[in-house]
Amino acid sequence: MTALLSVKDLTISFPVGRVNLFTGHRRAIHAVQDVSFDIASGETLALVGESGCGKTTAGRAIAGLYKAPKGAISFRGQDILDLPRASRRTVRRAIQMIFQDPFSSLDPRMTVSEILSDPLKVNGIGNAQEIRERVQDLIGQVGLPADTLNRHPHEFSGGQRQRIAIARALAPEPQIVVADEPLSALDVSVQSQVLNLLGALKRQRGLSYLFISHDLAAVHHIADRVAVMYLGRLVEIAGRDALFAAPRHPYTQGLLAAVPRIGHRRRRRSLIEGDLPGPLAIPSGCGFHPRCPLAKDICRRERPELKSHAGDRAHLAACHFAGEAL
Amino acid sequence: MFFLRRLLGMAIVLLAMSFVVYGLIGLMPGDPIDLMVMSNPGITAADADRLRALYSLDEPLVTRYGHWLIAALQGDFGFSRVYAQPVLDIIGPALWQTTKLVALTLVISSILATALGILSALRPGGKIDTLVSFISFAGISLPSFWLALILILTFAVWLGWLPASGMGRPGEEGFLGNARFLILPVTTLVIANIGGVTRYARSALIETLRMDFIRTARAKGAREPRVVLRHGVPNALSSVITVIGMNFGTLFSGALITETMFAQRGLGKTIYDAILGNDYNLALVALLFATFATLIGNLLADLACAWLDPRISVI
Repeated sequence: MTALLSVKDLTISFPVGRVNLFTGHRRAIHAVQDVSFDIASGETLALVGESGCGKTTAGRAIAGLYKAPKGAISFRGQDILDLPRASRRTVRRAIQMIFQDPFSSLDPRMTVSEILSDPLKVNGIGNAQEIRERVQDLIGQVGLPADTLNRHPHEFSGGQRQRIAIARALAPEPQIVVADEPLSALDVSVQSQVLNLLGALKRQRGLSYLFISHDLAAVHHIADRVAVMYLGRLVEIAGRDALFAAPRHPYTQGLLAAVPRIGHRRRRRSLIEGDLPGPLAIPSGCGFHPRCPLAKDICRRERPELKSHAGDRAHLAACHFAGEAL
Repeated sequence: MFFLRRLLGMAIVLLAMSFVVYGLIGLMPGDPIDLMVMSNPGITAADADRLRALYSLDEPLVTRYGHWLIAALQGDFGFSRVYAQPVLDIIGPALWQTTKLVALTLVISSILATALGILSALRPGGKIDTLVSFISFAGISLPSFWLALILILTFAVWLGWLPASGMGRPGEEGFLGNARFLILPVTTLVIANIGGVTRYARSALIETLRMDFIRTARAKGAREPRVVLRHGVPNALSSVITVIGMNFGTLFSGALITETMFAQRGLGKTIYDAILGNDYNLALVALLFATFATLIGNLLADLACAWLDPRISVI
């Protein structure tokens, strides 16, 4: 399986605070550091982690929303970040994004029809007639009636708006859709509808998703593979079943143990204690050691590499003890 | 419906304002008869009382207001005491003069301020932003009498390009010839006005550009100018329009200093002179026109906002 999208050593930093008077530089926080993963054609990779772990930042970088991330983002073997601006735009058409909050991600002044046709217009796809047909088609595909088109976003519920946002993302016929927590702003009763819609569209169109979420149940439902982020770094990546059945990194184990289950008493106390350290004070060695139940001296000194341990070659974890039985 | 409700509301505000203004003017110390007595020592106390009775000035304030209101509703706004002419004949030309000043000022300052606001919002804290901020605050801070003097000194005295003051004589120099008289007062008003609107446009656009749908526009591949001009500016504009609408009313009655400096017989100057001269009828009607202008300004701003933002319904 060749990768449709390949992310290599992606690092995104933001300057914070004041300019240092002596050096002229500002401090930087690394929201995402050395993140690498592949997404195959038709595959769904879920990116999970706590708030602030950098998963949204990584997704936005892939959708081209930051000017100069470090590292490489290759689409069909071509590094997007190296391309001249003009051709970068044509590649970017193939990567579209669905945002978390459908109440703010749609321009309130536009009708649904304008929202859906604008991506086609700015990318120079089709003439007026074709655009109209495509828009009609799209709104039907996301399960909304055709009379939706002449109305404005504020006339719809959250679930309907997220459907509009999905139709908008699909308008330029992307191959990869970055879905940034597409369910978390919706009512629970609507979440499964939107999740099923995403699944159906994927099957019909052979889409790949980068599905950013902290909802492990939804991830289990839709993902083929799962990548776990902690403090801007990948700590584990594996096939869905392998990850849910046998998580290797203690952070992943903690996340899974924290999922409430109906009919089970909580087996044990939460594995993860304490709060997420601030991004300005990332701990030495393994970033997770202050909260890790297994932390030893080596964890404070050396950062563990993300590599496969025993058996499954596609199951990578960044922990000194991931190879040991737990 | 919305429109009718607004018109009804405006009528009520005007009615209330007329009562308040009538009351305030009536409570001022002295009345027109006192002024007559001062300027003509031949008038005896008995004459004064007779005159007061003639003008109903001896009746209670509320009764006088009632008389005035009934006449006003029939279209009779009375005579100006100072000019000895029907009030509307005085106010008409003043209103027209002020309308010219205010309309030009608003159009020019709105366009300039929006453009400057956009420029500085693109890079908050950048060089252009710093420069525009400096200009804005300079405009806000400069007292308009000083600015007016400097402009007169520069363009009328030293360079001799423009008339120092006055309004021109109708029909004598033609429309363009008279328009030359407007340039300096309009410039003064624009400079005084532009700062506030620029600051509003800037902050509204900065706020809008942080919103999610802007990110959506970028994600779908729209170029930056399109993102700013199609998605950013129209969404930021409604708060700017509200401010401009309020300026409309303020300028109508509040351009007093500029009107005085440039000898423009506008509404502000008329109100000021009328109040000083105890010219009840003139002051009252002129103030009501100023109120009316404020209300119209707000109404226009609301209509423009409704037109810009589909979430605001007019019907």
